[in-house]
Amino acid sequence: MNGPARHPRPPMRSILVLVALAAVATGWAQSGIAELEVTAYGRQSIDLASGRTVLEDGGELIERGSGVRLVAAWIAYLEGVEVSARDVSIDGDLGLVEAPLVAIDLAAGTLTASGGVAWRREGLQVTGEALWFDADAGIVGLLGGVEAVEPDASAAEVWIELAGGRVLLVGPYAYADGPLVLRGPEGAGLQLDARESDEGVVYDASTAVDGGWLAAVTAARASWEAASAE
Amino acid sequence: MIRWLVLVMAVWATLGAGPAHASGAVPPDACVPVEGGAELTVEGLGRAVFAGLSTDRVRDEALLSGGVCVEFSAIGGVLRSERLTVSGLGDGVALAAADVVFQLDEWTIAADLLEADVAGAVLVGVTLTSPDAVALAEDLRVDLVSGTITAHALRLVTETLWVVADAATLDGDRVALAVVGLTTCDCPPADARVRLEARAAELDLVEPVVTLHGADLVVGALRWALRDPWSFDGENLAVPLPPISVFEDPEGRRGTLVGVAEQPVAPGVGFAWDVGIGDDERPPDLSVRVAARAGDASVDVTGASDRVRVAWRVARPLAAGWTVAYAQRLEGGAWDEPARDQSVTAGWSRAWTTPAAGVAVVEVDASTFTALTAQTLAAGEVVGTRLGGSARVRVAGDLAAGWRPALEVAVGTTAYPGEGALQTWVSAAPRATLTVGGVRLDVEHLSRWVWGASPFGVTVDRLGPLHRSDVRASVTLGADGDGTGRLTAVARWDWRSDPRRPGRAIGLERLELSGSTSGAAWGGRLSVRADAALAGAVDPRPGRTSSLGASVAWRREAWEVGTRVRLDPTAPGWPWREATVFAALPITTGDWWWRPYLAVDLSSWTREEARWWVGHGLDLAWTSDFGVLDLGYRYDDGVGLQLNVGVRFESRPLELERLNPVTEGRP
Repeated sequence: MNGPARHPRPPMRSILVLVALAAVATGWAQSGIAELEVTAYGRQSIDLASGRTVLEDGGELIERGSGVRLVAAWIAYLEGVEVSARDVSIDGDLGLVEAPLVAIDLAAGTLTASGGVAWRREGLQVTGEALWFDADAGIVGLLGGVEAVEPDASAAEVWIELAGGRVLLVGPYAYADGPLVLRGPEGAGLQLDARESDEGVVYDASTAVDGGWLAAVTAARASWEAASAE
Repeated sequence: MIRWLVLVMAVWATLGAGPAHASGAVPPDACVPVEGGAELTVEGLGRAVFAGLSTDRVRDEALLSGGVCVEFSAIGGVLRSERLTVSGLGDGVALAAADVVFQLDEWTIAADLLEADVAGAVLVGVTLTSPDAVALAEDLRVDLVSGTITAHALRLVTETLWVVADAATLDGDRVALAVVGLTTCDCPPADARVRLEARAAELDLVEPVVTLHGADLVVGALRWALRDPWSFDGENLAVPLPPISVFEDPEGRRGTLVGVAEQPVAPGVGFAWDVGIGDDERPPDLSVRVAARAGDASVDVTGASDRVRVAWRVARPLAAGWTVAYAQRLEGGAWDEPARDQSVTAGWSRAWTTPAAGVAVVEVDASTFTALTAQTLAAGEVVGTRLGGSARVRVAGDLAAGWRPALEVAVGTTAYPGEGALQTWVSAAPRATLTVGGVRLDVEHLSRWVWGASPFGVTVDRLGPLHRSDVRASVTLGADGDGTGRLTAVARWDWRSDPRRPGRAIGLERLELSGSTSGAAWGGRLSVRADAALAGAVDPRPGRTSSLGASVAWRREAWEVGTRVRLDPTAPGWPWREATVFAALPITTGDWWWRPYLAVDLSSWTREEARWWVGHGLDLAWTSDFGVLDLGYRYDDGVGLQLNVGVRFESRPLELERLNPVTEGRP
């Protein structure tokens, strides 16, 4: 956690990037699969009974509105219902997200990345076991041993509210900035609230988590657990 | 969020950077993480634990709450508060907290309010406590530039002292005070009849010692300036007393010597005096001696009813160990046959000390001199030059635990060209000490061989042969227990020929045995002692006696009763020399405490000159607001005079209530 001193940067930049990612993901999910441009790298099969298309040699999906590009070694999608992909990389304004497995439930408006998620973009390098996005709830979660090299931080989970700009770090969490380390024990929460100011977006921090926000996170987490169990 | 945390820790880091407290140790009462709370650490600086954290960027402040505890590992201090507010998150960060407790070294500092910024930390409404003192201060400031901690309008009490000061600097157990008033009365100095006022003072709370600078002693409306600096023990004030001793002059006469050892009266200047009083075994005689020393000059004057002696010496050290000196001694004067000598001496001396291999110390010194000396003796006057040199080597070892041998060998020779004489001497003195548990054995021998003789007297340089051996053995029993005991045996053998007994050595000079024990008895302490001087019995010679003595004393607090007896079994007739009973009984009347002492020799009625009162004394203690004044003396035949003058300061509990009501700091 205690890496060498780095060039100073806006401390909340990583959180802003998270929010940006979620916003992009929201637009992507809500735009519908019909907006996808599909390119198969090889074999492509279509189950006429179910209408499910499988790109067995992989391919790429490009969301025309945002330009987000999903490349995977194996892709299956059912128009208007779901997208499944293996060995996935998603590239766009949000940066680069890589995950062994990605599942998009177009009906429910959720996205699950699992098997070890890596997310990189300028000023951000973060990994976690899974990423959960619920478009209807407007919540993105990074779960399971969230480790960020840039910034130097870790948490059991990080939850982001897209509309309100609230962020919740679930402990054990730690944030290191040079010789400085802020730690919270297991189960402890640290809430960050975005505010507009003359300096731009700033965040207030509190170890007291809003009840409504905590309930929303609890529900999102339950949804993620249910989706993961399927 | 992180930005203000960095700023907060920067302030904490600066707070902890004071060099005066760079102990580097986290105190034992380190911060314990709050259940479910958060922890903030800064590498190399410290950490903070707290239950809650919230920031308000609109108000530009952050709040740590719930058992906030900050450890400053660099200074070993711990700050505790329920709430700590950090403001100025943008620029000019500052900390504020109410009802804080700051622990630093031995001090626990409680304050109504803490305010800190990058320039310094101020605690307002301060209460300081330590194991040795409690204090109040209007404010206490940590100077973040110099690292000093300064209190203003300090009121401090120790167990024995009441102190006020305009300002004080705390450094562990030491407190430096400015514009200070001090008293041993349990009251503010302004209200004390006896107090000290000083420009500055240092107070060591542990020793406890007070050193005053620019101090006045104030007694009511009177004021005396004290020497600068002036120090005293915070527990008692020992008034410098003349050391009392029994001396034995070269002629074997005994008496009582009352004197003051050399005291510094100015830089490089010492002064000493004593008064000798003869006892029953010599005619009434009074001698007075005054000695003074300033730099390399000294003078020693002794006056008595039958003689006067003046000795003075002026020396001037030169380079490379050379010294030129002039010394003169005058004795006799109008009262006696004159005897005087004077010498001009140029000499060189040098000394070396070399620790060898960790088990021995080698000391070597050597000297050489040339002198022109004149001496007036009863036989006439001797004038001549002296050329001499000497060397001494001493080797002392610590070979094993308790086994410490030593050997000192010296050699010297002096030539007297005018007289055609030469005096040469060699001495050897092996010594050994063996200590095993409570047993200690000291063996010492001294031999000095002399060839030739000095034409001058012994006061100049004439030497005689010496050959004697001394043995001293002692056993200490139960030193750590309630009952203690000690057995001692001392013997001296003189190997020289006895001029009064041709063909025989002088032989046994001393053979003394003694034993003592003490232990709890009847609610007090019982001490028993017995001794025997047996040289006269083993080897009878004219003028030498033997004696057996014993004493029993019981003491309980100030009560003291006992008896001592002494007899000479070899003397013809009635053998009792002493059968004394003594008692000291305390009497308390108000603030005064008396203890008269009386010793009566019951055997004196058998002697022609009955002398019942062989000991007397009186101890007096007056309890005042500023302490207990002790005055006392005790005289015993054969022991001498003991004086006691001092002040004991009353010990009081360390309670903050003693500091109320609040009074103005400066008396």
